[in-house]
Amino acid sequence: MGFLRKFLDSLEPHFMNDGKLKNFYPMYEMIDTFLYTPADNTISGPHVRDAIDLKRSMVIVVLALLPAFFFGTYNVGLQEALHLTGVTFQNINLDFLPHFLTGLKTVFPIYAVVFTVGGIWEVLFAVSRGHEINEGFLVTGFLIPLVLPPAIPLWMVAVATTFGVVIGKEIFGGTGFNIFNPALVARAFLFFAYPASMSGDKVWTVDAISGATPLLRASSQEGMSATELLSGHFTWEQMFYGFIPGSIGETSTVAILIGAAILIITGIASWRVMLATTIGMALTAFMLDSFGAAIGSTNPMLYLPPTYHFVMGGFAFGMVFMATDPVSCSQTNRGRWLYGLLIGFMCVIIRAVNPAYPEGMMLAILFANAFSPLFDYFVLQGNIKRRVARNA
Amino acid sequence: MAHFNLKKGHNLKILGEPDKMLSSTISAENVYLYPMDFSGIKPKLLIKQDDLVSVGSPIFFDKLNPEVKFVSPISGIVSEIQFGERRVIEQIVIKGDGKLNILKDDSSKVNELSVDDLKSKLAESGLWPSIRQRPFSKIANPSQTPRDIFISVLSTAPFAVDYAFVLDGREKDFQTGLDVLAKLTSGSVHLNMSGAESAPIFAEAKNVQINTFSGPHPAGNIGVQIHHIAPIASKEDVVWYLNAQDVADIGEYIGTGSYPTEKIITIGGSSIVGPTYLKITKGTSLQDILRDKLISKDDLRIISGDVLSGETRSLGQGIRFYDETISAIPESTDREFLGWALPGLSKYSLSRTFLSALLPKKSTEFNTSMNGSHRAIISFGRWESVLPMDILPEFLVKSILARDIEEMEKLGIYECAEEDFALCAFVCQSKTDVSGIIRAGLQLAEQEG
Repeated sequence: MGFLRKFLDSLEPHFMNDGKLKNFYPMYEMIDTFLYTPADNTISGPHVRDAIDLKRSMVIVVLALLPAFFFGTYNVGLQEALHLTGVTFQNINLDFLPHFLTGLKTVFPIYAVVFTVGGIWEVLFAVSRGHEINEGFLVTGFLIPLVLPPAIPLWMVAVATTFGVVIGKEIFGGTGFNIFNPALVARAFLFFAYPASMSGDKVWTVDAISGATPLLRASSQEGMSATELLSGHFTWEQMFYGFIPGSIGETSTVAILIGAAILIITGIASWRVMLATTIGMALTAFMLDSFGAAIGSTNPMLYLPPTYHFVMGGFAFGMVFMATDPVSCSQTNRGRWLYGLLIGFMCVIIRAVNPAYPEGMMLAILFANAFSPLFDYFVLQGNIKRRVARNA
Repeated sequence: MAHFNLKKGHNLKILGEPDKMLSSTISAENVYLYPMDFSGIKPKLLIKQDDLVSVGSPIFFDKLNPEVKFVSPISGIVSEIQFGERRVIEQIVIKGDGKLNILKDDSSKVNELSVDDLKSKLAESGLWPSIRQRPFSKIANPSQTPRDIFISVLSTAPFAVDYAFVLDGREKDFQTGLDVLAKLTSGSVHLNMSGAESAPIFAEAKNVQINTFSGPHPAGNIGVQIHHIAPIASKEDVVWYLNAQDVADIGEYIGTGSYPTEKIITIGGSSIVGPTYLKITKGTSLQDILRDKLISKDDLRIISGDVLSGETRSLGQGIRFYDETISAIPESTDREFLGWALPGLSKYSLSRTFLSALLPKKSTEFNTSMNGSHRAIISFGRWESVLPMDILPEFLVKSILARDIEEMEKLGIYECAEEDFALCAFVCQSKTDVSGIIRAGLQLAEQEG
């Protein structure tokens, strides 16, 4: 290891103030601090520091995403097999490895494109602006493929990643300054830019075969109950475990909840946001249920119980990994409660009331991202008013 | 008596806690005076190089408050006056002659003196600079009458002195000091102590309002205490505060008429052999204090003050005027391979992102590593979790960075002092210099607010 350290140290002068490659210092810094803990020492007080840094924080998020990644990749393979062979879910072999490997053939290229395209943008902006390459992209890059349908054309992945990184983040000044979650911006861009191929609600599993997602099926027929529409196709357990078509990482609620546990235990993501989102969703679902009965509506989505909302579509994934993004969510604890409640509320409203978008989670989070500074504003004014009242 | 139970904060478990025993008295060969220890003064010298001085001889004064004198704690000769850029006085060195020439004032009784008499006595004595004001942590202005005066005898900072221990035997002086202070304010003298049992010297103190605090660091910080007892409302809402040893010094001076030259400090940290309590002459050089007490002289960070809010000093310099602690810890020189990916069983972190979170926290050897590199501010809620004040630290910091003075005032900048935010900087994953930003904000607010 000593030789690698020496090699890096011998390179360093070239990237420093009067080196020929000084513009590329961010790249050197990235590789150097990826391999070795940074050499920075404290200058003034506090002279000692907590062991945590942004790298560690981001690595924990990636760790929390791994269950969803592994299951998602496996599920891509499984769904492909279901469609190609025509075997029913009850009869198919559920072995992990073969399906995972088939899935990887689809998922790996998407990851390769996201990290190549996104990485180039990150480096370009870091070099041109002279700031460090931020670990934030590690998480964004890991998230983007997981919210995409598996059979998405790779050029679309490249365009979406570009849009997410550049418009979603860099034009605001980079990580820490963006107002929307960049991965969601990428997803939303595809959703609105290529509605014909994305078809808004249909999520492809393999080329040319479109599998209707549970959400689509549940909203497919007026006058029927959503659970009846689902029965025969997807059981609650099947949706909870995630053996259903959908975006790569979003299908398994179990895998997502494992990630949620990691994030909550390590304190990296706000449990307040997750809890508030769930409460908001459940309250709204109950409210719509009575509202629908009162007006005699035949819209099946009005009567979908919260337990189903929880396991269907992108709700769980969005709640755990997207809503809790520390940059685009509210910055105060009280604001986080309101922010979560709004996401839960909007998600169910969009799913139930807007027939064009059975999947409401993405839009709900983007909507709440836009409102999060407003919640903080109220908390801030509360603090200021308390101070004024006390000093009066 | 009011009790305040603070929840947020953290007591740093750091190796090198001083043993509670007074192991020796260090008589200074040289003392060092730093006009820059006092924020906001314009110092003017009263002596020249090679002048002979006694204990209590005025060395310089503040042009803004000419009655406030800064005096020599030993008798000797002015051996060096070091000037910096634009003739800023950086350091004054007085070489001791081993004699006991003392510039003596009359001894007197508190109740026989008027407020003005007391003020001019203290200003002449050299003890006035130990009285500071909030906002801005600068020397109190003798022409003002503070709303209240605050004294904290609760220590929560790493290696901080135990006041009951250092004031043992000075009960009478301490009470006299409190009586003096009571005459200087229109409000009360607040004596803030631990919620657990307190020594009689504090619990039975008269002429004061007693407040008790419990909770982790920074519960012992005067700024946090003021915030809970009676917060500072504006720039003009001035309160005073001072260290408990200085209260006893004021009492001693009134009684004897001579400048108290000694104070008790702690030395702590993993680079110190046998961390302990020492009695030193004020202004003693670190070289004298730490002689034979350092594990090694290389790769060492010597800090006047505690590891969270102290200032880096070299051995050739002296202890800062207000400090009662000297810390020494190793400088970080190692770089860990793939550190971000390691399980981290021995990492000290208030986050639970290392496996060490599963083990009970034990005393850890800290070094000066930043443990990461500087990044954009991202709110994981860490700052709030260690700040026991009704202040929104991120919004305050952002208003300071934006130089928005009006917003800073609304968010309570005058209630803040950098030391209260040291733990925010400690826990920050983006390694934001929270304390430094707060200091800059206070400067801006003082100049332009």
